[in-house]
Amino acid sequence: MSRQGTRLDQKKVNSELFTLTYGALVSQLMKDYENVDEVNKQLERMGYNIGIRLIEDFLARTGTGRCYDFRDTAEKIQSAFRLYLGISPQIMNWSSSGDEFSLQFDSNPLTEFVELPDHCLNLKYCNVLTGVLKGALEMVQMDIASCFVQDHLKGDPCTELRVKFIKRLEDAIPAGED
Amino acid sequence: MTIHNLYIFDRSGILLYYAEWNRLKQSGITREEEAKLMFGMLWSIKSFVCKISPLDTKKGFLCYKTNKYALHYFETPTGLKFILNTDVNAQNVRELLYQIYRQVFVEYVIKNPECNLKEPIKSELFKSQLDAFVKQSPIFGLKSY
Amino acid sequence: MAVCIAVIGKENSPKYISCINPSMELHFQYKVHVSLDVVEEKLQAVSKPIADVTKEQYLGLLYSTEEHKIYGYVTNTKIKFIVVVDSSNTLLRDNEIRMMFRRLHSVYADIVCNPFFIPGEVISSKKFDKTVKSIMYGD
Repeated sequence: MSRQGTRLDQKKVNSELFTLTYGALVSQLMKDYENVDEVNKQLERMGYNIGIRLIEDFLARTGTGRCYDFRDTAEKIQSAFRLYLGISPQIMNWSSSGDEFSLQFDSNPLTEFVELPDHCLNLKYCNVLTGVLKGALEMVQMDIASCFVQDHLKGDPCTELRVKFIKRLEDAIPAGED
Repeated sequence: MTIHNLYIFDRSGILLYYAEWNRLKQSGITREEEAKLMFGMLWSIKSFVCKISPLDTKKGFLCYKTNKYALHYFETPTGLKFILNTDVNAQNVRELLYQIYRQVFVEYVIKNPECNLKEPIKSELFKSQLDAFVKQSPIFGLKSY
Repeated sequence: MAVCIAVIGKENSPKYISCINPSMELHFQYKVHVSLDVVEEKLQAVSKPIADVTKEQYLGLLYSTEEHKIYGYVTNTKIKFIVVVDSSNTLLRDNEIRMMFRRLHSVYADIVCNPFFIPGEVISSKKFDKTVKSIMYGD
């Protein structure tokens, strides 16, 4: 029989190195684009590209199947945060229709040392996360939108990421078939 | 026991990778055409299986068997499709397919930023790793017959 | 506890100064400036003979006047921290001064890690300011 789960090596990276790498990336983007909105967009795009690959790793690693409903999805997202960032955001503020929820972060390794300068208060520093969610869920046929409604870096008491379900994406029908 | 060949399709039906080991007879059509037929057949079988099912299916179509070979099908939630043809006696092929996905595909394609996920895989590393992985499997067998 | 805390850059340019009484800032700037000469002297003295034994970053008392005592600390990246305390405050022991410097060093390391901070620039971080104030007031 083939072995199971033994070949995944537990590579660890120092969290400061990770935080500084992400910080250097964002501040370099700020220098290159000199425009906060453009930087937000670039971060999201990068996140998207991460997401469409990360989801495969997540599925391969956890062996999870399809979600039953959006609540199930929310829990899987939460477990992914634990797996990849070592944090467990709280799931809260469900909308009455059950298609929208918030992830609340008490701590966030991305923002550990960060203090936003006055000229980039519109910067969504962690916008890469919204992109990751979008990319990852799109790969499992779910179209979602997400945005930060509260940000610790801007003086809010916590960081809150709102996730909204839009629609299910259907599998494409192969060309020449009916 | 032996393994004949492997197809990997992406979600839109592009043949990402094809490999064969002990395939003694070719289909006589081009690889593109063969892939197209394969994908179309799977797509039809899948939707048929779902329609005919008396219960709500979750995993859906898994494999079919002829008197000469068996086709095993594994689809990830992201729509990647892995198809492995083996002889009829092979056991636990599904497990092997999952391991190929997990230990070879994810490691050497998904985590390789050079690999475009919408194009056929050209990575030599992936090729050699996959080949080694398949050959070390007990299903592969020592001698083909 | 302290009446003034200053951070001096590699090339002896002022990066940050904060004191309990803002109207005295200029006065303290002079004092800090004067003390830099002593820092240089001490650094040269330790760098020559027993370099490997004295990895000590704490420089101790730089000099004292009737009103104030001035202490210094230098990081391995040649950033100097200067703390001025009241001479009348006899409760302060060497250990507490060391403690202050250690906290100062660690909060300095934190703000250097801020990706938007450019090393060598004047420190304008509010977080740094807040922590320095709390060190000065001794809590």
